[in-house]
Amino acid sequence: MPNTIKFFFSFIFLCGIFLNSAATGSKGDRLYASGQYFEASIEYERMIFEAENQTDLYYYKYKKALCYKKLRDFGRALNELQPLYFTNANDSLFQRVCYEQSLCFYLNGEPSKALWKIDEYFHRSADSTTHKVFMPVRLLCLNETFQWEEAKKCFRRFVQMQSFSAEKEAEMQLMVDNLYKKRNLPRIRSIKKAENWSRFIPGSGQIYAGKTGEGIVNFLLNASILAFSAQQAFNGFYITGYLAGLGFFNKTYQGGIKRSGILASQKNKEIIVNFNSGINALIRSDFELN
Amino acid sequence: MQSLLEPIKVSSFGLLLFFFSFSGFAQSIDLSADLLLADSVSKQQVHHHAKRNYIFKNQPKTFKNSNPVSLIYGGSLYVYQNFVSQHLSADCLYDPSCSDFSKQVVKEYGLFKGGLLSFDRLNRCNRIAATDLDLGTMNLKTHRFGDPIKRYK
Repeated sequence: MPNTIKFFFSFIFLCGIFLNSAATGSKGDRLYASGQYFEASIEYERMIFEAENQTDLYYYKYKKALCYKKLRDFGRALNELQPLYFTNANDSLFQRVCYEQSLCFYLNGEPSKALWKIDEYFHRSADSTTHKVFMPVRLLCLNETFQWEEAKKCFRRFVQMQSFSAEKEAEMQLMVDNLYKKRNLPRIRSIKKAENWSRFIPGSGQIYAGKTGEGIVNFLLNASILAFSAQQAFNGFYITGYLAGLGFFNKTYQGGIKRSGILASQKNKEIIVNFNSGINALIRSDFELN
Repeated sequence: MQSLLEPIKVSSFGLLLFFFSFSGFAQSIDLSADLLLADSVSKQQVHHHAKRNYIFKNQPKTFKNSNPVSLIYGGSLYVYQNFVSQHLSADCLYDPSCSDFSKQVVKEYGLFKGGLLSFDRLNRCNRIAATDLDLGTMNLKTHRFGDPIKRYK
């Protein structure tokens, strides 16, 4: 290859890079790329203030939200993204904003809101090829809200969206069907049931939620306070029995009911995090993500 | 013919290089990194019950922390925080909670002043006192009113 042509190629390549960095390589982007997310968020704030049109404003707000996401401050990331409204659903930024909103809702412990955001995007965007990127988050959110049938459909659709061979696709679909069979699903504790168990027999709700020791302590505590109250009343100390006995019993009895609900909810969270962690690892290892 | 095609080949390759130089900077959603983030964040969200320590843990043995009153106070506070408080329906109004506040003031100011301040705090932890609290001190995440011990120096 003659040297002139080599020079021509080098020139073209460097020209492209220069034009690109001149167009998008702002200080905020450079800070973001170097991992200084807090400083980048401040720089984007300045750029938001100086933005001359809505497109720039939305883009900088989106980038600022990404900084907060990297800093694991998902609430603030959502605050940045929430006011953005796109009249054109085919805008590529609309997809990215919806995606980040749904992810941040999920990471902020609000899977129902994440599902609402994804459904809004699916409803507004006619191009179903852009839906693929939402599928993993939607799947995790559906699992988190125990919507197993929907989650199964979502996972099957995600498998179909992959460019697997027919054999591999059939294998994956079978795996999804097995995963969502009733006997393989995680055993979720009903919060209502835990509370009702504790209402009927103090401490049993805690045992139902998986904390046997705590349940036994709660039962003994309630029984001893009730026994104290009865003993006082039996000996003629009615006021002591009522105030010190039944008053305190009311606190431990109601507390036991409330505690069993909290324990059941914590247990459910632990179970579903383990279940989702397995699915997350599977998606990362076996699926095309870009 | 060959000489005619050569410039076309060269310019097509040049154009490809031009677009390639742009593609490296194209912004796309990094799903793999997001899934990793989701995994680590959701594991952090799982509640791990942490035992609350004995007030004089890891402190050199002195009269201040080994006299009978301190031992009874520290022991009962430990039992209350780890085994009793979770069974009660009442929620503390303040942050730090009354038992944590008591632990901190006794550590800071000793048993006498600490005891008096704890008694004062317990008297203020009720529904009547709640009507007179400064909303500006409320933690929006925990919905508790800030009442740190440094206010009582």
